[in-house]
Amino acid sequence: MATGAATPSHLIAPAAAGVALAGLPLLVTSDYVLFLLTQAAVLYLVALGLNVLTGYGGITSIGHGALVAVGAYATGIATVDHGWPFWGGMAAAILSASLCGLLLALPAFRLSTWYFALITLGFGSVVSGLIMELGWLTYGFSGIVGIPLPEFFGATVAGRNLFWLVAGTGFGAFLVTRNLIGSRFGRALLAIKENPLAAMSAGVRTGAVKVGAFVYSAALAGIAGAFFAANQSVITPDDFSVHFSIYFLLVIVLGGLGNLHGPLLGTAAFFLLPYLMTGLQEWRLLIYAVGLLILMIFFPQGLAGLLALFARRIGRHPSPATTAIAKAAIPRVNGAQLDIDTVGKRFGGVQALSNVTLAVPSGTIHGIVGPNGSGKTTLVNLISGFYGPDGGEIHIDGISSAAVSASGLARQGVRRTFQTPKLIPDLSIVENVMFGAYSDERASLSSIALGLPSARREARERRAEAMSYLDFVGLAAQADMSVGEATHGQQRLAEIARALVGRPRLLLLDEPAAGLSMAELEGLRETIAAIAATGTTVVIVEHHLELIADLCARVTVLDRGRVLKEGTPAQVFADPEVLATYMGRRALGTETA
Amino acid sequence: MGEIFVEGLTMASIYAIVAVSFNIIYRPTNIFNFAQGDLLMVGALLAAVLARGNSMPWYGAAAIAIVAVMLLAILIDLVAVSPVIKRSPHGAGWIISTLAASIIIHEIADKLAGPDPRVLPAPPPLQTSLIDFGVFSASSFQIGLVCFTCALVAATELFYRTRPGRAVRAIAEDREASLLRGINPARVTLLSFAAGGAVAAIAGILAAPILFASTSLGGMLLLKGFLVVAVGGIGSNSGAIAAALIIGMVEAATARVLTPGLQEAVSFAVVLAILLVRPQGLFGTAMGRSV
Repeated sequence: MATGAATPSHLIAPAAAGVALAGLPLLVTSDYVLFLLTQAAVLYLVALGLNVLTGYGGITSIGHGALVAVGAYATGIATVDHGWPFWGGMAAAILSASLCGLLLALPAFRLSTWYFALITLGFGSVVSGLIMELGWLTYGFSGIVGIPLPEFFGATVAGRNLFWLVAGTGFGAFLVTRNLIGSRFGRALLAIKENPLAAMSAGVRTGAVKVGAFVYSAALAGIAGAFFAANQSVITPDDFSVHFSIYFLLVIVLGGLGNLHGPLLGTAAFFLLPYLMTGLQEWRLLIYAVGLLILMIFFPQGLAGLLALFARRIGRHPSPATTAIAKAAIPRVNGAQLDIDTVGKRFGGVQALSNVTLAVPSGTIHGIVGPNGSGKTTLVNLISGFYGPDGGEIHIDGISSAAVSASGLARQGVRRTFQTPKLIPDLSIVENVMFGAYSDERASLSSIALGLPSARREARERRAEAMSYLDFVGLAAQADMSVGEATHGQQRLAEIARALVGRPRLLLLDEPAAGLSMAELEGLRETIAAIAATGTTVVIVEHHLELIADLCARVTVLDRGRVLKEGTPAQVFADPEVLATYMGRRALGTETA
Repeated sequence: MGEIFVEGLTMASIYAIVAVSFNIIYRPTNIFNFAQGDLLMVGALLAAVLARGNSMPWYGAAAIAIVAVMLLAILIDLVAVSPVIKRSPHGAGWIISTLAASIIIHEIADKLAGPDPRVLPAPPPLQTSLIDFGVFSASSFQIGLVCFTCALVAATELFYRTRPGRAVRAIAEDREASLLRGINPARVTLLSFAAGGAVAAIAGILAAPILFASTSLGGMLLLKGFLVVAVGGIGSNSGAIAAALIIGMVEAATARVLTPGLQEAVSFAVVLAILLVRPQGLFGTAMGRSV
């Protein structure tokens, strides 16, 4: 959808909007209207950054108005009190707003969504308190007067030129945002919002990405703050009331959360509102709040969602079925040797695993079976680093994985799938697969942001690579489908392709056959065999014993957290103890009778 | 020194009750109700209006206020929370929708009651007049408040050990699995909003004799309650007590040593510093079973 491949057709709409907006001031004669247009461009910059954070990252900030205030005051103090030129003031604004963003986001490495909302709310309250309290710096109620306009080579930028400067900055910021959102960073941000576990299993350092998004959006708020101050030339505490932060939320929710064009739609639909409502000043916040509530309940996708729905109605295409299996060749890897040594895990009073020992030689397929609740998934979570063991050690190629996080292990080539496929709903199937290569991508943040040829070339290569893996699992025809359109079986295969893109040395499949049709099951069997043939070590947790018997060199049977039996499928499945435990004694009785 | 201690302890009690009201809703739902501060404010204002000039017995006014706030909390669940969760169970849309509910309640209360603070006396027979104990002086209300807070936390913790209390915890662990065990999460969510609303109203009614009942009470205590649960660990009531003590004391000391205007900024800085070291809070547990 609007997640921004760099195709020219994606540029037409913003370019048209840009030309229309740039032309707007030519029609305007009133200085006041020009002032409002410039102000709208300023607000757009803030909304753009907030949308990255809240719309894509799912991190609600109720303090963006305060970040703008920090930027505006930094500009005011630097220019008026210290005689800096405007651009110096803007640098101070970006720096101080980003610093505030960093400070607010740092505890975020392990905290959830509501934390950000409240900490930013608190930040807003603290900032407005400090503006009053630190009167020697901020001039309290009277505010800072006489903030200079930007200058270019000695010429003051004012009036229409100021609008063009701010709107041009907004357009530039839009392009940078689009490039970032369309890159691995954007995919990581979406994954963190929709499926943090999937993000970790692709090797994303989730904390760092969240902090990055926060700082980016704070920097945009800082830039906006500097322009805000210059456009107004006077800033007072009243400019940054609680209304201000709520207003930005309303703009991005109305425009469409997590849509690239949402902020523009929201600003365009909305920028006049605060000024049109001057007569309704005291009802303003109530109207904002009622609007927010109605939108969240009835139309959380906003205007952009409405347009996208409309566009989809027009261009509906039938969804193709799963195609033939395992056509493309994928590169070979050196499989890892997995050694699990007397590992245990407790959850409160429940001993989920105790004393589990098993060894999987590199390049082989190992099956783990056992009744529900026997600790199979817990074992996968331990190997993939989602849990730390309470005792014992896990070695991968002889190296202990104790101190390595889940995302760290993913980067080292330990990849997994989940019992219920954890794909990212806002991305297409192929983009989901590309996300698996997150930790392999090399293009730097700046080359992605600026859309440099090297970054674009890598993006093309990654897409081609993802396509070859989709072809490998038989999903090439579904590449551009949305996750919601894909069947359960297709989602499972796509998740396997996502894991494969990371060139896993060890691949953990958690019940890959669950919910598959007979045809899909056959395809899965061939796919897993083909994966092992490339050298990858595979561990399968599965209830489907036939599949295990066909594929696996060795099988471990777990029962109530302990290893009941280990051996070749033929040995294990003939063992009377295994049959009794796994099938239940009664079932066994009827079978032999 | 004694003054700082008494003042800190008093505010800590109020903050702890607010935090408990957050936790009651959070534990089964994983939702942090942003309208909680305004529920509290409505409770305080309503009790103050009803009990004005002894037109109604204090406890009668308090009871009506508590019931009214419970109903309001249920309304918030039905209008702003349940429809949003139903649409996307793992999304954070509820942050924006409960925030919107909070602003709506606040703005309407502002239009109806005006900005002037109202007086609500301490629950009889307690008094707000100070009694001199030598080393420190405290009012009988302050002593009663501290005792009530301890009793409330103890009662809440005991509840979680009962059968319905365990059902609440089951939902927190796995909403879908609890459905299979015959627990209706939607009903438990509704009930916990009602209970959380009642405790919020109590917090407001007990804060009013000290802080006065006004529309600004809600926003202020929402933030303080948040700082407390963030430091104490969301969902942990014992953590809430410890964190409330820290924040209450820091504030009281800031007000005496520096200036009351810096209270908020200083406690905010302290909270950020604590969270940098322990992001999950003092008593919170890091991520549990999630896969």
